Amino acid sequence: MSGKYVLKRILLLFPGIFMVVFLAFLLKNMVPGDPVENIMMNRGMTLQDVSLRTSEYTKIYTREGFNKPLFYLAILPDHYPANIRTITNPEQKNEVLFLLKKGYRHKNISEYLNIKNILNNNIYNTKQYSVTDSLFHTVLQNEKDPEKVLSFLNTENWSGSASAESCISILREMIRNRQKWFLPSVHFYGTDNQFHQYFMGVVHLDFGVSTKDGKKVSDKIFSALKWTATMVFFSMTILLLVSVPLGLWSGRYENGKLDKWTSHLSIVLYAIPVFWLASMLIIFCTTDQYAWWLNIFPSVGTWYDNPGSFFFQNVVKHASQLVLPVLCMVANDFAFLIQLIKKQTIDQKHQLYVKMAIAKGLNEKSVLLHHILPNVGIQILSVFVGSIPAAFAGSLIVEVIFNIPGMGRLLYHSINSSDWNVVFGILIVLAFLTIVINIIGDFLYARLNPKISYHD
Amino acid sequence: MIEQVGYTKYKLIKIMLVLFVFGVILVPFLANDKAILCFCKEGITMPVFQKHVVSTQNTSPTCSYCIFPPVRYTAYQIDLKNSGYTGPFDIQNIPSVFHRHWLGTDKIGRDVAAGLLYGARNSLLIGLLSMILGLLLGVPTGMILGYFQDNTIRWNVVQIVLFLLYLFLSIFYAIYLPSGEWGFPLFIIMYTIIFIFLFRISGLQKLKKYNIPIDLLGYRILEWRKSIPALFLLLALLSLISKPSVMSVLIIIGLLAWADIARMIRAETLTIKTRPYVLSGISMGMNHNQILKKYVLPGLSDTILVIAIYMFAGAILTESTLSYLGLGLPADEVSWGKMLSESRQARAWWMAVFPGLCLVGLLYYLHRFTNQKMFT
Repeated sequence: MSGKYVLKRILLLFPGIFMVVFLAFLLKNMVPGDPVENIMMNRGMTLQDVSLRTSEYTKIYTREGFNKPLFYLAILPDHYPANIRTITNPEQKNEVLFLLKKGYRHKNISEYLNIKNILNNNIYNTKQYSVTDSLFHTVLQNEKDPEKVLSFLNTENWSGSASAESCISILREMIRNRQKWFLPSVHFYGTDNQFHQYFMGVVHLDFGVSTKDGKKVSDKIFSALKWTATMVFFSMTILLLVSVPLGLWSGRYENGKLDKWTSHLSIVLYAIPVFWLASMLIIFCTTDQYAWWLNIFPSVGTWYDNPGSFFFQNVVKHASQLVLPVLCMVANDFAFLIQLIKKQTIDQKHQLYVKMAIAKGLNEKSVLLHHILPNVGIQILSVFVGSIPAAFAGSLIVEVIFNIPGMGRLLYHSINSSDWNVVFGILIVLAFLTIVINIIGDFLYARLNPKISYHD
Repeated sequence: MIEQVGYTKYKLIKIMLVLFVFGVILVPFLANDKAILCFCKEGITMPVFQKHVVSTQNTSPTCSYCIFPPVRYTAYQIDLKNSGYTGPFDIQNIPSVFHRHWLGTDKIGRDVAAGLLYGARNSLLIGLLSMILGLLLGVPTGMILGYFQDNTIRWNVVQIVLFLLYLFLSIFYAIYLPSGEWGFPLFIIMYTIIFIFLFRISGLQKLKKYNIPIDLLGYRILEWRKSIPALFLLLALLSLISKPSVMSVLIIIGLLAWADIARMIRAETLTIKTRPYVLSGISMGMNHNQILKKYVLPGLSDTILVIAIYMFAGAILTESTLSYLGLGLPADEVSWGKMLSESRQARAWWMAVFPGLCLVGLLYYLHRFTNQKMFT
């Protein structure tokens, strides 16, 4: 393993992380629902007064930076404005977007909306406004030939006042300037955009503020990550402690009693979904409703951390509650890893170096532990390292079922309360963990296995 | 990775067909409140196919004899007399022994046995369709990445520029497709044809050609996809859809599986490419298209089959996991996962045991064919 290889792998980390952050940002902007409305709802602002509500909306809108452009550059049709996000009012924004999509120029649209606003504010003209507004809409909604509809409008006898006439002239102007071909034009915005803000935040481990309770997302994620990491640590330890001896043993005594048992059990265990195993264990093994001897494990309880105590103390306090979740998490991996180790052991058993060691007069135990085990270990290392990120992901269901305050449960509850900053923060943290663990695994593999050398 | 599946190939296809027929087509005949066949005075009728039958359980008095399905409820039918988790061994308020809820009912009185059958239909449908979607996207991608690699496709500067321009314009018009009298679908077809024409012509020019590292770029994308755990990405993608349906769930599952399939197919194609028959094909002067079709794809068939079964099982598991979390299918659909999650709240063992056994049975059945390959 050369230094160049290490450097190359570490440099390749950055585009990967950039892509993940980009994906998270993209998804965050694609979720349905208005983010400002969401924030206002979660803070209990149900303002009835329209003007107060609008001003509050605008305040939050500009404070959260929604008025900035999304990315460093944008490819827009050339009649679009450079940044449509400066319009704070969502209804107005939707109307402008609708008209832009029909090919009307932005300059004409703003004139039209101005006139409409004047009409709207003129309380004496309310009746006329409602008539003209709906009629204009019929003109602009028309796909095929708005001019024809406009000329039809012109002959009507309602346009007595000056404002309506000016409105019609503006409409005519709009239709005349309508874009028929959409040509792309590229806008550059510089670093003052939402993605830059988000990315810089992520680099400084700041994922924004949770819309649900106003806490910092990074604090929420890392206090949850502690529990998930604890569970993953315990489950991986148990996995190694159980599957390595069992796999070695059943490989050593192929077709023996233990081998038959484990291989049958493995296939069954592999087919059992985690959530079913968990449900069954909770239903049957945490109460004495069915039989007194079935009440083995503590029931799924509430979790609360004493604020003063260390994390380790909390783990010890909840240790009994962690037993079932950890068992459920590793059940599928047991099946997989035992069979893998067995297969590898059988493969290694017939190698020449084993015969050599036996011929040398070593006893069976030392051949198994000192000659076969390291070779098997190298082979299973990559699988084992790959199962660590999988365990992080697999803990989601276990945490939801057993009510453990880990990352999976946080994600689940955040999705249900549409707290997107938390959801995509978790996605980024998890992707980062996965990438880093995979790279460490590759380095370890290259380090431990003398057969492999990466030159490039 | 995968060597020979041998004769089990045909067995597997047969099994898939049987599963499909029993699980998807025959379900209304196994669990329904309408009779399958009635011998009436008007002649033989089949109420199963009639949408509106007024009296549900009882047949009209003109009929002398009726054949009913074994389970006399649909999964959507609410039996108010036996609501509130009636167990299979509890006393049930039913007209006759044929109307018994053999596997109990749920909270609002829906029959569990019927739910199992209709849930099986949903599971199999999602598994099958998302598998097909994943294979359709993943197999060509993996084959192209593995076969062409970094040094086969060579373009000159004009071609590269044209391709980038085409990509740019396609993305632009996909987002800002203006509606109107211009017939833009026609426009897109037109400009695609023009671009292909220009591309072909510029390929004939004697310019310096460059390697296009499609494998490098494609494999990066597959790696990036791999760096986010599938279940988390699935949940995030599902939250984009405001109104989930069976269709949207299966499309998302299929799209996510695509990258895994492409990775496996790519690895397999890399080994097939070095086989002598492919080399002989190249030496005979066959073009890439023919080699891919006649040599590589048949060589991949065993792998594709194993991956298909794998995907099928995986999609069923994913769907039930999502339903268990209450995020997948819409509220009015039946699913094994949903029944399982209900059992957790109510401590009704029959709603945990039977759907779970069905799920485990199906997954075990599917894994048995791939278990030798699974552990390598």
